[in-house]
Amino acid sequence: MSEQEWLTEKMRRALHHHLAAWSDGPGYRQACELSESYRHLLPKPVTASQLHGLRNVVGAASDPQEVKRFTTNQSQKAERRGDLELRDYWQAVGKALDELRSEVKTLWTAIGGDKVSLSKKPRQDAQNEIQMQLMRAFVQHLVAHSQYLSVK
Amino acid sequence: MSEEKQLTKEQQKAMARLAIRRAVAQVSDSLFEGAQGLGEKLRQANLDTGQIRNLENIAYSTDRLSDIYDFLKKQMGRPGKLGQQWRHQGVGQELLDTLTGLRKRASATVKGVGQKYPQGVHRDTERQVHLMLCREYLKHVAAHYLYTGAVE
Repeated sequence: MSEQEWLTEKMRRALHHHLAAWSDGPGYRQACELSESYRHLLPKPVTASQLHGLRNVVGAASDPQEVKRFTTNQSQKAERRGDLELRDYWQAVGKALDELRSEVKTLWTAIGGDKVSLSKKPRQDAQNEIQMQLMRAFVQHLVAHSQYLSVK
Repeated sequence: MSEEKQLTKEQQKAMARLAIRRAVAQVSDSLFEGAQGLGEKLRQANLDTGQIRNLENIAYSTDRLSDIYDFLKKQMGRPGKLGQQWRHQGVGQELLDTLTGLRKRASATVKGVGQKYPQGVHRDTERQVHLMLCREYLKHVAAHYLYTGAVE
């Protein structure tokens, strides 16, 4: 089920509004903090092309699991190369993106999702779509702040 | 009870919108001089007009402050000539700091309006006013940037 099908106009407006507020507030802060805490890995070994890869995956994915696979794969690759700091970085990114699930619950309630009668699967799909939107905003901030730190 | 507080919620919302518009116009006028200086610095950095237009377009098309911040960070973090231009004498950083600093002006504006029309403001009003102020500031910056280019 696409987002368009389950959202009423009122819910869509509320979601848009809540996503913007989250993106400018906690989402922005958390992404910048994550980037700052690994700034010693910028611009290498966390390269611009890796970050753009993450941005492309998040932009194209329709399911949070696809993003999870990407971050897991990146951390495993780093571990195989013996780069444990880079492995930790990708694990931290994966964890931050996973934790957005709790924000989905908050947003879901705030827009009145609990009041909509949906069976388990469509509800899960709808919540996945919201998580993807949170992930896109988070990664946009992460990439921008990392690029900014790379030349500082 | 004051006359304002006897208004219905809808009336308070309408009055608050007008009061915010007036207050934003006042703050905008007070930002004019500082924005001129920054417009000149952007010109001195030899930034292309397209860069300034892009920045303005983002500010006017988004409902997220963080989209504006991310744009500036990405431009400052670019390798090569463009990144150097945005970093020239710290002009990009100064612009970013000024825009983020407008939060205080937004906060004061909303506080003043909220005292008069408590039901006319909500928890996201400050962020929305902040975005309005950023647009105003960037409008002045872009105008002065273009003006200095034309009179040179």
